[in-house]
Amino acid sequence: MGTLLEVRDLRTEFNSEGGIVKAVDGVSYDLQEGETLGLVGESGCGKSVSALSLLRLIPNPPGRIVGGEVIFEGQDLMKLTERQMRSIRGNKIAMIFQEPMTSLNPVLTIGRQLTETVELHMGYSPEAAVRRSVELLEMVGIPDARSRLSNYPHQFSGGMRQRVMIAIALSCTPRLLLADEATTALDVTIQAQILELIKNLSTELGTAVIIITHNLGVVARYADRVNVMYAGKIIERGTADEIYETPKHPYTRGLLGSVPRLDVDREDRLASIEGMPPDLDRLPPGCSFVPRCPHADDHCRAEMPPLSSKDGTEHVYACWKGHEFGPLELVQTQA
Amino acid sequence: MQKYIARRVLLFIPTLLLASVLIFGILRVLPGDVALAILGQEAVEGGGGYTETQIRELREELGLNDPLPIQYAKWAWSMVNGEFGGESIRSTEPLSSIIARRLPVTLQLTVYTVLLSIIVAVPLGVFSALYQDKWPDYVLRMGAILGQSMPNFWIALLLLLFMVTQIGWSPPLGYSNIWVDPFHHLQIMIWPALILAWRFSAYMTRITRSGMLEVLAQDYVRTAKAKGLGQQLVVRRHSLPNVLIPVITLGGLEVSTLLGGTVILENLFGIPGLGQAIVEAAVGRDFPVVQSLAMMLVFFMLGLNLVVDIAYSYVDPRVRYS
Repeated sequence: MGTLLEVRDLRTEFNSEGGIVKAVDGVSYDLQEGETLGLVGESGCGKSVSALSLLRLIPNPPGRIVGGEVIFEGQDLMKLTERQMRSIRGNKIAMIFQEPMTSLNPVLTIGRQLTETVELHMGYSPEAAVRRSVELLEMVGIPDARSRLSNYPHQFSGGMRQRVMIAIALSCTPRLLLADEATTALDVTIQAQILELIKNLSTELGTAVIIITHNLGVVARYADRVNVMYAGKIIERGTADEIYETPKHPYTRGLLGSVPRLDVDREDRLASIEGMPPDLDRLPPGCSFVPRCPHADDHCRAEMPPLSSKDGTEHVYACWKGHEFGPLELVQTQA
Repeated sequence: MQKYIARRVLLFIPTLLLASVLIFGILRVLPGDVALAILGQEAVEGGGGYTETQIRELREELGLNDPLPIQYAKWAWSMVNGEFGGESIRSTEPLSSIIARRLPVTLQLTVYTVLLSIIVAVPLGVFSALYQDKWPDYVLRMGAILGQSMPNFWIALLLLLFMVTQIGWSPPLGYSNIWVDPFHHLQIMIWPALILAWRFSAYMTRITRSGMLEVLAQDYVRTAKAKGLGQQLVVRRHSLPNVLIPVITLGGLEVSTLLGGTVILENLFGIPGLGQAIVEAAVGRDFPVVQSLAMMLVFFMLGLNLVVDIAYSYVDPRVRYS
């Protein structure tokens, strides 16, 4: 399988009252066709912004993509005209958002919101678009699809709305699906259903998926590879197994240590990462994680470590001391 | 939906009762005696005097000697049975005929104003929002602030003055029905409608602008863009119907202020509507006319609110289906 997407040194900034916020600060990664990639990090680390940047949907002002390349199927999306870009959005690259309650238009029927994409991108006649929409709703498991086309979003439950969003996103058989916290707002049982649905449909259609989440459990189960983001940068990348078994960056280790696990006896309190996520407009000169890192020394404070590995493997991390860390200790220490 | 409308109409009853008591009460505490006013005018016109007996007889004849609750009950009943408060004590014209003659005129002026305002304000508000904080937005906002801060009557006087002194033309004095002489009708109605519409559309432009800005920041607009829809579809199909919800609500409420303006401009432009009638009647202490026409304005407002509510349910499916 070939490379579907190559992101090179992507930079997105926002003007804020405190100055320029570098929400995405030189992010590079690539994605194979049909691959599922996890993008993990806490709120405000730039994971959503990096996804919206791919589609060039950063609200301007205050935001701006200031640099980088996004090579999708051999084309640099950053160089396309707005019109060319529109023919890619919803067609080749589709996106599912976090809030199924607000992501659908309350005054338009589900049918209208489904048919417009296929009418626009695939040139379907209104009748053909309706037939396709019924198919899509059945595909995402909505019963009585034909009659539900004339319903409005408020007549659906949260999980059903997210199914509709998935139907819309997959309507033109996209090559890439961006799922931005797609299940965060849903009940845990529904979350699993929705993720299974995304997984099955993307496998069936050969669609690559970027799962953006702060939920490490989701990533562990569904992602082939994982990018961990902190303060606008990718700080660790590897296969899901590598990240879970031998996380190298102290931030990833802290993140995993703060998740309750069923496979470990737990008598003590959960560990937490000390301190607050940094202000993106006032980053320290060296590694951004220094203020919260128990292992930081002068070298860390002076120089940002590059994303690399000591032994030349694909499991890379931005930490001077990463190679010193072994497999994550599964017995939790007293907090 | 029918149930909803029926419930709304039932809720009118307490409002109407309260309004009628207020209107009736205010007219009773105002200084001035109708009998004296009528006799005084007759005396001036006829060149004679009047006696105490005449005053007492006239008061008796007009029912002014009845206890207030009885006067109120008589009037209230007449509003229900279709007499609308009897007749003018000045011209003896029945109120039902006064209302039939005057109400459509005010209605037309209001409709012209509202239509003009919507046609102008909605596109301008959307435009202003799309060019937020760029120069077209500043220009439009300035125009809106001017329109909102200059009093109607003042603009009306300046306009009349300007037309007479500078172009030597003034709106015709007599009123014509639109079905009889549309051109003549428009010549007189267009000016007050324009003046009222400036103020009203200024307000509507501002609501549309802020509503549009709010909608453009919504998740579903982002979804629409992520689907690859162009600006036109994003605005027309996905944003505008959502903007109309606050615009209809707030615009409907603002029509009540518009009615106040209509009363003044009808008088300035000599338009024989409810507003002009009410002022004439108030000056002549023709209290049956004043109180019945004031009640008509209350009816008018309640009716408008109902229309707004129904329109609201058409644009918002969440209201329609609940």
